[in-house]
Amino acid sequence: MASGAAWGRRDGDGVRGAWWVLGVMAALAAFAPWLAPYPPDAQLDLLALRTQPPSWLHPFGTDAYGRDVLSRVLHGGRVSLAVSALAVLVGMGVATVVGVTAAAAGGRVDRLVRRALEVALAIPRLLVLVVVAGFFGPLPAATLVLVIGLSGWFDVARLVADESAALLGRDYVTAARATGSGTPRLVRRHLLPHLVPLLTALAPVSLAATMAMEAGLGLLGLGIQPPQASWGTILQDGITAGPGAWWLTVFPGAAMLVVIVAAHVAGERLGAPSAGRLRDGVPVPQVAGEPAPTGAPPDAHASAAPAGTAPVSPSSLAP
Amino acid sequence: MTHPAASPAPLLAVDALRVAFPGAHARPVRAVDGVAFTVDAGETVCLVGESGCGKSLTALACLGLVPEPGVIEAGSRVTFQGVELLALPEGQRRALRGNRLALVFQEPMTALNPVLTVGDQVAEVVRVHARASRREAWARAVAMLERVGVGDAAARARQYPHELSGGLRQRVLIAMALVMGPALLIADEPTTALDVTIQAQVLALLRTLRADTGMGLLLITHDLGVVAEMADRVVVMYAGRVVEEGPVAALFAAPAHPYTRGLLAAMPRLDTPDAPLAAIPGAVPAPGQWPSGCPFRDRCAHATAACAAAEPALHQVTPGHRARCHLVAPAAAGRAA
Repeated sequence: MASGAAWGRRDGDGVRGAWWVLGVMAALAAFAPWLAPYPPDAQLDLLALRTQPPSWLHPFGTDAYGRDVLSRVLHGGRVSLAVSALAVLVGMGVATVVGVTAAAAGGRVDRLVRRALEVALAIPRLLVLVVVAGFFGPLPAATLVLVIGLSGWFDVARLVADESAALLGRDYVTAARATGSGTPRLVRRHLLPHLVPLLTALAPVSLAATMAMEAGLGLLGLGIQPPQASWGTILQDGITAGPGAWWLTVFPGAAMLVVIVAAHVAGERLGAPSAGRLRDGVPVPQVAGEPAPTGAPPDAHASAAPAGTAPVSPSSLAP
Repeated sequence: MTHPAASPAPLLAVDALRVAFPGAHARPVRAVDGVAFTVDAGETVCLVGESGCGKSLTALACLGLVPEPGVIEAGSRVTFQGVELLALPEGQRRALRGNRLALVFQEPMTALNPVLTVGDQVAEVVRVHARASRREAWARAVAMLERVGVGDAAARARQYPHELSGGLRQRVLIAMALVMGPALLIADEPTTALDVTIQAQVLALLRTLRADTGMGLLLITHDLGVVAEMADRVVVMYAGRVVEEGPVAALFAAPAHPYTRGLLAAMPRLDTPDAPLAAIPGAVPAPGQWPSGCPFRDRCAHATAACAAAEPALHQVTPGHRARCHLVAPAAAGRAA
């Protein structure tokens, strides 16, 4: 049970630390344009900087086109994390709708949906992605998000359906039914808030799997396309560059590893404590610094206002 | 407004109620089999029986809320204020639930949603049934909590269930049930999970509220002490059937069915403290494993061949007092007379 033990004395410490790590990685990705020393696509010096090992000027080295790998890893993280996080949001959203609907409808609908999910789960996801990406050619990022998101929600839907069925059997749900609450109200008030712990535990794990999936596609040349940087495309550059250029695979690989491990630890132990504090509705997605998904509360944009613009009103400048 | 005894039709009339669950070999198992009873406005009827005899299922069926995969069989009738409930579309039935007829649950620990404040949960019922703003609904919820004896209701309403004692939670559940002023309250073992002093308080509260509002009260319990204290009439259930019914005094003074006699004999008494308690041998068989004929004959000291041959009908003992036993059949009663 105590897989977080290496991180701290209690599981809680490990989980909190993992969320911090995820937050820092997300922040690094979000602020990549300000943090990266060079533009990710700039070919700085095709001859002098061709596949150079790490140095003070280029801590992560340079690639075959004389591009700064640190800058590419930062920018690549932006793309990889954004694509993965949005794909997870899409997938979890669809999974929640389908799972809750199946459980709330019950009976034949429930059985039908579950059989369909089992069939869908039997088809290897990577195969679907490779076929779709191979057939329709290189996919734009938005389509990639949809394709990855829509191909990986079946297991989550099944878990949501199971959990929902259990929750709908609770006494307080029957009690609410007995007071005349209809199904939509039951779902909104008595089901969704209780699904939050499950979903927040599944989301990071799902993120880890999706990131690996995205990088895998990039590696196969089916995901984000070069010259745009993503962790997958940098890995691909590393493979083409040959075994000597270890910095091209180690650094993006390490970045991915950090995110994946942190995501698993974060998802490991997340239970009841968060449920107690919730009132109505579902929580705001926790991945900080990502482009705000549609439907996020407006104040999410406010806090993401450009840091450079000082809040000076015109009147205060008047003489 | 309903006036007690003004109309001959009872407030709630349950007739030939049968609830079945799918069993092995596609043979449905009847957990409730032909239950019939009535509740008048202003009357307290106690539904009594051991665990597993179909009491709670009967209560849920009265609201059309039998849990899946149970089904209320065709021919069952639940008439509430002259309206056939089981024939109503679900939407109209839902409009009645919590509004005109309400249910209080057995388990105050689990019947409240742990992540919503108790005031919120009472106000919710108002919002479901009345066009009320959040503020109005909240005010009505607080007033109702006050009325069911929650002290400092305005502050309590903002608390979560885990912050309240069992007795207070049961009061919250009662407030949820009564906030719309129902004509009938069904209370399923409302005091089972509470300790004795709190039990007495909750029962007293139910009695006061019934007297104040003139509502009918269907009280489900296995506690004959509660029955003696609360009931006008008693309906005894065994194996999904009504085996005896009658006014509380008559039934306690002269129980006609051997099962009722057994139940009464199994009660500890203060006047004969040293006498050993009588127990009914055996246990209630699971639905579907009831013996042929009279379902109680396996455990009955008076069983005869007739009991295995045919299930007895509800025979009249005295007017208003009936028992499902061959021993009280007119022929047997004639012989005894």
